[in-house]
Order: sequence, then structure tokens, then C-alpha cells
Amino acid sequence: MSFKARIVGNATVVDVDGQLIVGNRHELKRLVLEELEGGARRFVIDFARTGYIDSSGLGILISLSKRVRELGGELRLASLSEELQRLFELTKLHTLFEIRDSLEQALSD
Amino acid sequence: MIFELPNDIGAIERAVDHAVACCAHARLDRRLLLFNFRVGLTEALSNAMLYGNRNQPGGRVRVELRVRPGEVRASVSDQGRGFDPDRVPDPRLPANLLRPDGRGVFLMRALMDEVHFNPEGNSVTLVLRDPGGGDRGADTPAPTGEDARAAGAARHDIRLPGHDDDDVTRILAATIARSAELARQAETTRADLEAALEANRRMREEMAREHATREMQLAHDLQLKLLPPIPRMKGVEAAARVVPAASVGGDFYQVIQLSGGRVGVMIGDVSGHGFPAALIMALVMSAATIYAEEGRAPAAVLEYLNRAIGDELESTEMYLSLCYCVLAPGRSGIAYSNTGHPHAFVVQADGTPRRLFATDPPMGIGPTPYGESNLRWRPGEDLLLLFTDGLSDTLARSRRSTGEERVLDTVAANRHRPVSEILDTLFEMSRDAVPSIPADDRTAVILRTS
Repeated sequence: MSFKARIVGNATVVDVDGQLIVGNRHELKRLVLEELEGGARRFVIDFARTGYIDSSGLGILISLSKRVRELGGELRLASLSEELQRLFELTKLHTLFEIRDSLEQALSD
Repeated sequence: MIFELPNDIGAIERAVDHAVACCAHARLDRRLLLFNFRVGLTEALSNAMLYGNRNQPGGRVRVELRVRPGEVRASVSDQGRGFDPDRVPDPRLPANLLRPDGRGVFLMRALMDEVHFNPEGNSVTLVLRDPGGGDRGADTPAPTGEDARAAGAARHDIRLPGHDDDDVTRILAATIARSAELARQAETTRADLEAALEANRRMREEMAREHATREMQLAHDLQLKLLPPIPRMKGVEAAARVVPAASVGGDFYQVIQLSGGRVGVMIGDVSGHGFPAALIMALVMSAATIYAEEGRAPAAVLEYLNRAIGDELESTEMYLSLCYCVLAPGRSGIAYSNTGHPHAFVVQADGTPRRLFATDPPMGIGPTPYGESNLRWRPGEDLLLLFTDGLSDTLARSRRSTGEERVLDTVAANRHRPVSEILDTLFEMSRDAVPSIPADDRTAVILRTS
């Protein structure tokens, strides 16, 4: 499992490789907050290589999205698998996040 | 199959993968196993570690797996006092949607076929079945009576249409069988390796024990040093005491002199133990004094406190139950905010207690801003009584009443005596009731105004 940030155009893309769960969620938080501190404002979290997310993982995404918005930025989610998409729908969190089918779409508008 | 885990959230992912590997012969839909089961079990384990065992490093979590064709049952038990799963608010409500927490139980129920909590609320059983499990052959047992209880808790299947799950399951089973064979071949060399690892582990445990003892002494000293003496105030009679446990909890109290003759009274309990809990407690106490002395209302004081320590609570996975009351001699009202502190009362002149109900969930879990409530207060008659569960738990042995009731009865019976004597009586009683060293701090504050 790992989180990596890379710059694509004017956006910071964070790849979630593996799971986003209670045991590692603070690593994602730290990474995004560091980028935020470094001036990044447009974030795309890419879940193309993510297995599952638990409630703690969802929680950290909510906290981060709030923080990014407070600073005038935006955090989008991209490439959710069918299961992950369903997870967001079950919890009604799909109404809270900007979700795009692919990384390209998340970066394009 | 049964295994035990240390209370370490970093161990969850591997434990879940291990459990999934053990379920291969259930021949469940692979997607159900790899998603629904993994998420559900992760929730159960993190609940057990963070809330059940209150994130204490010494805690253990027990996992019991029962696998049969078409069905997997996983029971997760912790050593905590349990909780009432039906009191968890619906995380999908608009008011809760922005909360970063409170989705664990919901997800378990949404992703599994059945979720059963034991009556104590410290053990949960997750059941996942193959939707086609009923026609798998004669070896599939009939559904149990528990099915009826699961009515209405329909699982949300997450699957792709037209996917041949059986093939994948067979490949997965073959892979696991192959790795078991490889493991057997490696058994001999592993025995040597294990002996060496065992020696190494024993040495590290010894070192950790020494370290823990030193840490405990430090935390102990810190806790006692921080507790302030009770100021002498006109028209206020107050007494307070903390008896720290051997393992140092995070109990504290404060009685603060405010402007205009008012008095602020605070009691709190940090969820963790040891040095981290003592540090949180130190932070809370210094911050609380500053904000309280500015004369702010209870909800505002807690709001500032949360700003000061919220990040610390989140990163250490601890939370804080705290009750802060403001009252004044000669005045007939008491204002308070209470983030999940269970034992706060006004004991009236006739001995009847009135509870200062929690206005919010514990700090570190619940959202802000905090609520505030007002209660009638009769100067010269009423007693303010705040205590932590360390005190009531030591008294809980009686068959006739709970520990809390015994504390209340004792205070009611002694309500006309000076507050310091009431306090003495309480702690004498709890000392007599404790057969050995108690596991938690015992704390109480009693106050009367004229």
C-alpha cells in the first residue's frame, strides 16, 4: 500500500495503491496536507489501483475535502471501481464529492 | 479458526487478508469476499481496537472464523465495556453527512447479510452468504433461525454481471493450497528461524516492559503534579480528588475561580492510558484554565479547547469526555456543556439526583459547535456531583444496584455533611470494595454554593 503525489498540469494527483483504511489513513492525510501547505489547491485522488476503503478512509477524505475547500481549492475523486462507487452511494457521500469516471475526466474540466 | 490480535490498527490489513485466505473453501463469490467481507471485517476490527479497547496498546482482539460452503461467519470480540449499536446515528442524514466518523456500524450492516452484537455490545458477528449458496448441494446447511432476525437488513451486493466467480474462487483455492504446500516444505528451516525469533522477541518484550514501567512512573508524577489545589472562594465549598490507577488513566478535574465571584468546575477522562493520555490531559488542563479564566460560557470554552487539542486527539486516536459547569453563589442557575461524560449530577435537597445529560459526543469524535444546557440550582441546598467511571466501576459488585446508584445513594445519605466528608466517605467505600489495584483512575468533585 502506498500514496504518491504527482503534478499533472495545474493539479496534484494522489495515487492510492492498495487500501485506504484505518491503519494508513493518516499517511494520506499527511501527504495531502503537505502538498496543501506547499501551495497546491487542485487535488485529484485517483483510486484506479485501490482495493477497498473503510469508514475511516471515507472519514479522512471528508476531512481533507473540507480543508482543501476552506483554502479555496477543490478535491476530486477519480476512477472508482464499481464497488467503491457503490460504497459512496450507500453512504450518500457521492453527493458530497466531485467524482469522475477517469483521471483524464477529473483533469479535463 | 480462532486467532488473537494485538490492539494495533496497523495489523488490521494483514489480519483481514489472512481471514480472507482462510475463507477460500467457502466458495463464496470472490467479489463479496474481497470487498464486502474485507470492508466489514476491517470495520469490526477497528471498532474493537479504537472504541472497544479504547486504543490501549495492551488490549487484545479475538477473531473467530467459521467457514462452511456458501457461508462465512466472523466474530470479533474486544475487552471493552461495549456500546449500544442502535444508538449510532444514521450517517446518511444530512446533519451527519459531513462528519468524518460514525459510518462503521452502518457499513457492516450494509455490506454483510447479518450483523449481530452480543448484549454487552463488545462482540460482533458478521455473516456473509453466497446468494446462490442454497443450491450448492447437500453439504450446505439449512439457514438458521437467525435469518429471521436479519430481516430488513438486506445486504447490498456489489458485483459485476456475467462474471464467472466459481473459476476465480477455484484459482484462489488452488493458489492457497499451493502456498500451504510450500510452507510445509519450509517447515524445517523455519523451526530454527522461529527459535531465533522467539529469543529475539523475549528480549524485546523485556526491554519494552522496562520502558513501560518508567513511562508509567513519569505519567503518574505528571498527572498528580498537574492537578491544581482548589482555590478558596467566597460562598463556594468544594472538594475534589483523583486516585490514579497503577496504569495511569487520563482523569482530571479543575475548579477555577472566575470573575464576578463565579466558579467553573470541570471533570474529564481521556480515553487512553499511559504517557500519551497524561500528555493530552496536560494540554487540556492548561488550555482549559486559559479559556475558562477569560470568563467564556461553557460551550465556548469547549469550542476553544477543541481547537487547541482537536488535531492531537485525532492523531493519537484518543477522545475526551468532559463536563464543564459554571455557577455562582447566590444565583439559581447552572450552565454546562458535556461532551459524553456519563456521571454528572445535581443532588437536590431531598436527595434526588438530576442528571446533567451529555450535550455532545466525546471531544475528538463529535462535531462542533458544542451545545449548552441550563439547570435550576438551589444555592445552599443542591450539591454538584461529578465523578468518573473508575469510581463507580469499583462499586459495581453489588447485586442490588449499579455502581453509579451506589455513589448517588451514598452522596444522598450524606448530603448535609461538609463536602470534604462526603468525598472521604465515597473513597473509603470504593477502597473497601476494591479487591486489588483498580484498573482505572477514580475521580470525584463535589461542590456546594451558598
